Amino acid sequence: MVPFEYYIALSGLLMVLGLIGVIVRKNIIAMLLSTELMLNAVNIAFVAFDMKLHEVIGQVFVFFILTIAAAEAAIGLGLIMAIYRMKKDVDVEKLTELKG
Amino acid sequence: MEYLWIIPFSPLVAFIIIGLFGYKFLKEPLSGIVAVIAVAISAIASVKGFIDVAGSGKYYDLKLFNWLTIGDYSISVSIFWDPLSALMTCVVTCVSTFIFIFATGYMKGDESYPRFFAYLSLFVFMMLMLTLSDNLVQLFFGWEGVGLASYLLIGFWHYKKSAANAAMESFVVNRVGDWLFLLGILLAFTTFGTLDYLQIFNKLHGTDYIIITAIALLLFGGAVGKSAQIPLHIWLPNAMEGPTPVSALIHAATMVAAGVYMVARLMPVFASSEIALDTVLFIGTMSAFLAATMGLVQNDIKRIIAYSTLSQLGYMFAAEGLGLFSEGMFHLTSHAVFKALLFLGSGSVLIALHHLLDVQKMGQIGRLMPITMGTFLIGSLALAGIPPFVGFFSKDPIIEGAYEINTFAFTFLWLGAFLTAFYIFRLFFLTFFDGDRLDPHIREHVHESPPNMTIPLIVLAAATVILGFFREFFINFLKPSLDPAHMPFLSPEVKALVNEGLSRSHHVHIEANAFEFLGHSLTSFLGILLLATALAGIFTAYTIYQIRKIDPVKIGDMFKPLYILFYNRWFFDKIYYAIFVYGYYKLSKAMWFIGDKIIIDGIVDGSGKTSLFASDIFRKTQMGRISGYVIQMLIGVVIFLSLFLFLK
Amino acid sequence: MELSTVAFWVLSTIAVISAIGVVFFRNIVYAVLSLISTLIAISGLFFNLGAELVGALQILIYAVAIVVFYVLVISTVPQYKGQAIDPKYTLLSLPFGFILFLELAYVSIYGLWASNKGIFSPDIFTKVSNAKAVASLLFTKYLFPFEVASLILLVAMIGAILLGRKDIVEDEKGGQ
Repeated sequence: MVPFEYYIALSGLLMVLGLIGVIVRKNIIAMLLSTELMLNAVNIAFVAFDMKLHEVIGQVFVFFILTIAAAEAAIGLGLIMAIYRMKKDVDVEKLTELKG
Repeated sequence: MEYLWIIPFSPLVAFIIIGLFGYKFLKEPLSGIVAVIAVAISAIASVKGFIDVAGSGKYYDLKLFNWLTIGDYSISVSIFWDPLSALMTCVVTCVSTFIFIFATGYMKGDESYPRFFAYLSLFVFMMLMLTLSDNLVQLFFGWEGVGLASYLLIGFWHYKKSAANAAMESFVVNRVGDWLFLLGILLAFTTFGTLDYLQIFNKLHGTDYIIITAIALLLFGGAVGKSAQIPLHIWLPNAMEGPTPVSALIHAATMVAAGVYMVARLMPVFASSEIALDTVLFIGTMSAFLAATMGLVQNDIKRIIAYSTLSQLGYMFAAEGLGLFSEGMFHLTSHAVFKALLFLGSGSVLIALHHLLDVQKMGQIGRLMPITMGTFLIGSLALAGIPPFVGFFSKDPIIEGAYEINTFAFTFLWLGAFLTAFYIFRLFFLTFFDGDRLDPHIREHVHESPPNMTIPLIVLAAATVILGFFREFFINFLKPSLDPAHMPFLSPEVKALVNEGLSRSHHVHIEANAFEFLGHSLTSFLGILLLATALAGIFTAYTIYQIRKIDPVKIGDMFKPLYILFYNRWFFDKIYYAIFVYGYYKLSKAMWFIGDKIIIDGIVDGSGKTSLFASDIFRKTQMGRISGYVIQMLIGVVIFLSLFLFLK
Repeated sequence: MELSTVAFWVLSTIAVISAIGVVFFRNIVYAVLSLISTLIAISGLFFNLGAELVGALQILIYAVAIVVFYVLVISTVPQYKGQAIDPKYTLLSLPFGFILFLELAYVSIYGLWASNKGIFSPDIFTKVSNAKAVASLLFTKYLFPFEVASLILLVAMIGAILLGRKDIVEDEKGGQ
């Protein structure tokens, strides 16, 4: 059995990769993909703790996260569709209405 | 002796009545009459009190009510009636009466007639509070009060800028003197624990010499301001902006003499300190001489007489500095009479010539105004010191005493006598005789003044003639106040102390009796010298200005530097202006610029500019790009996490 | 060498490499494919840990439904032709990201974790299946959030449909 700290480290690594992805990518859709990656990293952490602490509450939480992630992905993509219709582009650099 | 309370309060009642009701009910000439009656009542009461105390030599200390209590000491409103205060009060009230009568004629037609008499009555009240006081606080109350009244009266024609400025100048310069005076009072209180004269006198012999000297010098500082001695003399010539009765009353006879009176009243304090007496002597002598030089070349009729007042006050202070207090007070009395006469005479001239002030533009009006000319002549002779007029009997003893005591003082006082005779007769000749430089249009209207102006002139002239022969009476009368051997309210130790202080004058013997004095003067070397000096002064003025044997302009050119020095009044005005007025102006401007503009505006504007600048910088963080925000969050999380982990 | 250890290392390597692929591929389809790979690897890790319910659910929901969403949208949107990555932000975020990872690792290794507390020790799962164990909590104690979650899904569905409609955009344009 791998010591569970490795799972946490893995979770951390995936989380950071996802965060970097959100910051760095220029395509909005790719940004959302990175967000999904972050959520998954969290899921790993929850389940790892569950096994360590002999609980199931973490898995219940993962269940909810899955649900919400699905909802959020739907809405996010709907927004992207709307934005695309307005701007005819998915470059995030063009979305600077809140500048200044 | 309770009737003595009428003396100060009668003018006060007049002030209140005229002040409240003057403009409505007491139009001209009623306000004037009310004021004259009030002062006359005071005069009668003072004369009665004078007679009462003349024979007995007793003194009375009457207290009216308790004004202020500090610890165990209480200040009360009171009257101290002894020969000295009786004399001063009589001088003030009697001279005031005649000046008031003159003023009813002089101020005729002026639209602020009631206000004038209200202020005059206020002045007399304050002056009487000063002379009748028995403690330093009431003295100071009167002191400040006469300063206030003087300010109000100099600036009476307040719409004239020069008058308003002169009033302000007099008040401010007086303030400098008053500040010193107040320091003296405070020092006296901490030293003696009391401010009543009698208690102070009796505590003198236990006190430190330096402290007494300090108190005396500080109080004298007040006198320098009030009596316009060098170096605080600059306000008096400008005070001539006020109406002539004001000049006569305040700036000749009474207020300026308050300093002399104060020194005489506090004689034990001054006599206990050699240094104080020397200072009084020095300043008095210098003022006497310098003022006489300044008066030589002035062209304004009232200013010439003002410088003469300065000079004569110097003589009075010199007398007190020499230890001859009685002579000083006698000179004060005689000066009050003849200087008031001279001022009123000039007032009469001014009314006739429609307020023309420049002597160089007058002339040949003697024949047209005989009474004025005659009384003016008598006053001038008195000032020059020619017998049998009172000036001779009061001024010459001072100079003779100086000869015996202090050669330095004698030299300057003697020279001053020559200059005095010269300048007053220069004035006389240029005004009443000499050539005709008068504008013909004015000449048509020149006529003698009405009786309510000429009668005071005549009365004062008569007094000038007679008063000299009462010399012995005055000297003896003042003994219980100014001769330590005869002062009943001093303890023996203090008497010894004062005697020692006055020892400088003990070897001087001047005849008290007038006739003996006259005889002595005509026979002794010194007396003849002084008489000759006075006559020489008159003769020089006659030669230059009347018969024009010597051209004054040529003499002026010959002595050009001296002329410039005298004409510019030894540049005191310019020096004071440069240092105090201009310096203060520059200082204020600098403070405004640095303090207000740079510092305060800098802070206020600066804080605004700083926040704008800072916000400009921070604005750049709001890119509008999500990635930027996320990075900021990331950085924040990292920082906090680091802090949390490593600071635990 | 146990199976779980080997499985962990293999699966985690696949997950990490796929994650890097998600972040760095320019072609969005490649990125989606990488995401699928990551998701399946993670699901494998769940199974490795013994959480069968969430493992299965992960595949169902994520690897199928959500990826389908993305593919649909990608197919609507023309191909993005710009840069994949903004260099400026890369430069800025890499260091901080690295630091964050180190700190997380530090916390995980040296942190004070509570010792075994709960009742669901692994031997229980021999008697009761994992799904049953989770369900025992889910449908009793956390019933309310469960129902709310379904409500959220409903709302999200409505929102997504509204957002996706063409008329809205044209209405706004017409109204301006």
